[in-house]
Amino acid sequence: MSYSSGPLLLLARWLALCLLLGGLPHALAQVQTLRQAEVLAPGRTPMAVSLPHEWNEGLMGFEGVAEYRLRFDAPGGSDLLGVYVPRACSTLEVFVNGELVGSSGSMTPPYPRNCYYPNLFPLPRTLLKEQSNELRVRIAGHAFGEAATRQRSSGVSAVQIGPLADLQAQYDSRYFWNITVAQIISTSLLGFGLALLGLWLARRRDRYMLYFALFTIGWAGLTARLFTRLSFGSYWATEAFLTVAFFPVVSCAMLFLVRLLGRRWVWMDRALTLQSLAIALLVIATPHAQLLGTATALYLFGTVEFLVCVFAFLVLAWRTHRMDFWLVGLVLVHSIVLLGLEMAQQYSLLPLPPVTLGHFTMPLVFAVIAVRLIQLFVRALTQAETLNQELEQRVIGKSREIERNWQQIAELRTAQAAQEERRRIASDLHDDLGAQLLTIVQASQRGGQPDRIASMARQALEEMRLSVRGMTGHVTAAEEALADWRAETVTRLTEAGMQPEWMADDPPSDLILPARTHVQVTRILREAVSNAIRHSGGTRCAVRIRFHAGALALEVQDDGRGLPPSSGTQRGHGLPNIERRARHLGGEHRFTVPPDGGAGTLLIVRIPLSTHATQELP
Amino acid sequence: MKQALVVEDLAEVRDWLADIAKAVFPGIEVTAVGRVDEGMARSGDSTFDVALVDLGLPDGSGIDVVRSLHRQQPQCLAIVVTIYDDDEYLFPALQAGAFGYLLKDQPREALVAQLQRIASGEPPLSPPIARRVLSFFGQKHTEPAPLSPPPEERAIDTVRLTEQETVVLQRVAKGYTLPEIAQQLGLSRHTIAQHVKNIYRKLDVSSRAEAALEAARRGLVK
Repeated sequence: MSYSSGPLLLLARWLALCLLLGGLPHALAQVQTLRQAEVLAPGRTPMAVSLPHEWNEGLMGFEGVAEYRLRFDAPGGSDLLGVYVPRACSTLEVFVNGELVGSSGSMTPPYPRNCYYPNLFPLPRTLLKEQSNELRVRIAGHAFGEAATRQRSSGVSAVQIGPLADLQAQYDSRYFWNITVAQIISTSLLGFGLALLGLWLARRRDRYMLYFALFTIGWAGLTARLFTRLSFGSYWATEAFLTVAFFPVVSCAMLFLVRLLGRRWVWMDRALTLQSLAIALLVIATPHAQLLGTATALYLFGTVEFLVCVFAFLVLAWRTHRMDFWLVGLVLVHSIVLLGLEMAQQYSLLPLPPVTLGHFTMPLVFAVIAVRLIQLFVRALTQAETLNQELEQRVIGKSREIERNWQQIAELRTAQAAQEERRRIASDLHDDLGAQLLTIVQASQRGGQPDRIASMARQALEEMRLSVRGMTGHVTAAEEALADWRAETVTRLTEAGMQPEWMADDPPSDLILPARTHVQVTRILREAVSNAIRHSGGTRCAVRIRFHAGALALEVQDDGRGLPPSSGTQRGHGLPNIERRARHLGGEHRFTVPPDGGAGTLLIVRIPLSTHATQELP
Repeated sequence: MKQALVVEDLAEVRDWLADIAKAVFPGIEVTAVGRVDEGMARSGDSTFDVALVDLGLPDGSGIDVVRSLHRQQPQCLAIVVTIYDDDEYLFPALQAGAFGYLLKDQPREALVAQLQRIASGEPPLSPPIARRVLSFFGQKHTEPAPLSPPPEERAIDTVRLTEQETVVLQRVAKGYTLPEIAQQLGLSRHTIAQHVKNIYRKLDVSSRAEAALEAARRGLVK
């Protein structure tokens, strides 16, 4: 049933044989092996056969209880005796001189599936005569050919009689290898397969993991046939199922190999599905008695198919996955050897071996492939980690670079902005200070009043002071600018004998005034207040400042005589300056009358703050 | 007021300042020099009641003269005379012990009035200066205390603004004038002036302590 295997298993097999043989020499001295028997089956003529006997020899098509009669002489000595039947398919009863000494289960259908279990029963000496004892071995079984393999086809092995202790050793060994090991393997494979399935669930992309998991779990299920005594459904249904189930499981193995190479052929997926279905139909359609022949042919077909797939895999792997090539190649060679042996057994070229070691070849394959998968997994993990570290390093490097660039850009931008600001302030300086100095020159040449000239010079100094402040490039928080303006305005108005009235919004706490805006608004406010003091003739002066909609709104209102209706360009001293400055800051200004209808002048100036004003320069 | 020192490099301005001093303090004797070294020499060998010191001098900053005068003659009223009202220039002078400042480009009457106010114990206090003073003391207060502070640092810590002094400074910083603040707090003009004087004094004491500490630190480092 196992057509592929691993090299280690050969070793295990050899070791197992050594174990068996190692136990033999001591036992051989007293143990009798009975090979001659007479078979009596209802409806058949009695015949002499040699053991081991299988029902295809003379009992073809017979179903029921066949009785083997053997004769033996009582062994000497006084130790406990036993009768050992290594293989009795499906179940047996043993009688000695007409007394029942042992049974492996019910002798009426459904028979327990005991084909893989060895049988050992104690043989009381009191039952024995000195010579010519009669041993009857009753075997209940299904018709030969209804089982899917020869291992489960009806028949009986040679019978051994001897000291119980010696037979016990053989029995234990066989039991261990045929049953216990199978149980261990089946359980381990199931756990292993479930773990792989979990791995796949966590990482769906690795499809080969899924197929390998299904293959493993499937094989765990198939291995259960070795130690499960119960049939599910009927005997035939169980045998048919074991035949059919083999193909989906092997299909998973083939899909695994293909996916391991990173390939996927849709036609292959479909063909394998169809094949499994077709085989199911074929097995159902097969007459029950022909199952063994059909199943053997199907197994041969499945095995050849698998080998072809493995061969294709090797060809592909040779180019891209050298490591997998050697691995699977080794498996292949071993498989071919085992296949030969197995096929020879199925076609009766070789006798059934005492221990069906072929069943354990697959687990070795699993082990080898699992190691390979773990290796792949670990390698991928290591790669991912390395890649991660590299990426991290690169990201750090890049962010440093970006930081550097950004810093450079920021510095450049700051430098550019500062330069732009200085250029504008220089231009203002030219406009304001230059004009005032020119006026002083003209006035002193034409013999102007010294007081007036001094006042103009003082104003020029003030201009310079302001401009210098702007030149140093200090940005001022709007809050501080407001405080400075208030202190200056209130002080000046109070000293001039006018009643100051100051109303200002609290500016946004993080609002910063550019140096030039600060300087120019200071001038506008100063000139507006000067006008109110010098020219309005009023007694009150109100200043209102609001920050609203990205702009600074300044209102200076007095209760004086108001602007002359046709003042034109003669609107007082600082008015043209206010106009020019507001324009340079990209703002607007308006002289009007107070809204309450009272006397006086209201100056409204609105300066945008949001961006650097992009006004034209002279 | 018997002796006045004027340190100013421009001859005409020097004479003009001497004039103003004489106008404010009738009968005063004015010593006028034009350089830092001369000012230092005079402050070493003569006693002055009042000193008008320009900051930008040919051989250095007038702040050195102010500091030297203040150390040697604490009773002398050192006043900075400048055309820059920027707090960056003025604050170090105030820390060095100047008791007020005058802007040179004002009309004579305005200067005379200001000098009289300073002489009568009402030094000016502009919003930028007030802000600087606040942050100067505020920094001291917010600094986390070391586990075992050296004596110098404790000396600085002992100089603290009173609550009312802080309120006055805060209001000045917001742009209120001293008379307005007096009215708001219900204090006399004289009391407010006293507060301002105390603020100047504490600024000086604290600055000197800080300088000493700084010197000690440098000494330790060496």
